[in-house]
Amino acid sequence: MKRLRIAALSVLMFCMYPAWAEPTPVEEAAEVSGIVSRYLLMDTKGRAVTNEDFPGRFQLISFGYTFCPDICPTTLAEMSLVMDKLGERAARLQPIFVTVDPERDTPEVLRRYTEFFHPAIIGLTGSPELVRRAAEHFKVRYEKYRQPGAEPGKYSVDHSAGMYLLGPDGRFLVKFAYALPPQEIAERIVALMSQAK
Amino acid sequence: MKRLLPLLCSLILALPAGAAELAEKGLAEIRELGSLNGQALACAQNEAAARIKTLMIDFAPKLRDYGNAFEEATNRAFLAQTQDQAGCQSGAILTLQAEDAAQRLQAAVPATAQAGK
Repeated sequence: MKRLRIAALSVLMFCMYPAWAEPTPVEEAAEVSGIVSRYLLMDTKGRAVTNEDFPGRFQLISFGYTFCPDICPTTLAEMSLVMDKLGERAARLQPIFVTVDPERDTPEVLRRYTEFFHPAIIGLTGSPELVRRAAEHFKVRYEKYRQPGAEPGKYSVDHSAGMYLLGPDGRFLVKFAYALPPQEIAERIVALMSQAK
Repeated sequence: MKRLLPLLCSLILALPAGAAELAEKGLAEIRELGSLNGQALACAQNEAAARIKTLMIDFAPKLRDYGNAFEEATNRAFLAQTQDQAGCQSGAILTLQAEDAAQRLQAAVPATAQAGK
């Protein structure tokens, strides 16, 4: 079953990953300056979760939404592969997916979505204001895009891509740009884990 | 039986009013605890936040309205604190204020009213 999941994710990534051949930098300096890792959100069981709730563990965070056709599934597939590549070290990493579409991404929808990619990924949501604040802190931009004449619930959400790594103290360490190969991300995380020992 | 009926009716009518009255008692203190919790979370005062949660578990009636009031106040305070970039109070001060609010909560909602809720 695990092999089947990895194979499915790999195919998914191959199909959606035209930029794979040209890896982008690990971090974009202009984008990461001033990032504040603070958030107060809610998990799919209704529990409040903050960036301080994983002491001693790294957090790998991405923003997106479950109706997302391309970037989000690719990023979560990446996240899943990073977890697999970390092996036993994955216990020291908490992967997190924050929805930027809390109106449509109910806790149950979010739970099923993240579970498909990896059982360790936590889906976080919250009031639109709390989600907006978390995104602002991470300098994530997002905006609903509705085609003229579309029904109220039919829209897409344009949003920034990439993954954010927080250290064992909950502080921001590095942003991994979209399309960076999971192997490189895993290697970077392993190096940071070694330094943190 | 004729005498009993009006008494039963008045008792039944009084029940929701009593419940409503209980639901109002202590809400201000619960909101205060929520507000302090939001500040503590925004300011990474983890010990203060943990103490406030313990106070809630120990003294708040287990009713939905109280839980909602706490959560809403927490969220509002977190948003305000992170919006204003205002200076943070120390964890010790937040904890003292929370203990004070919890004492007032206990006075407003005695333990007997909390039991089994």
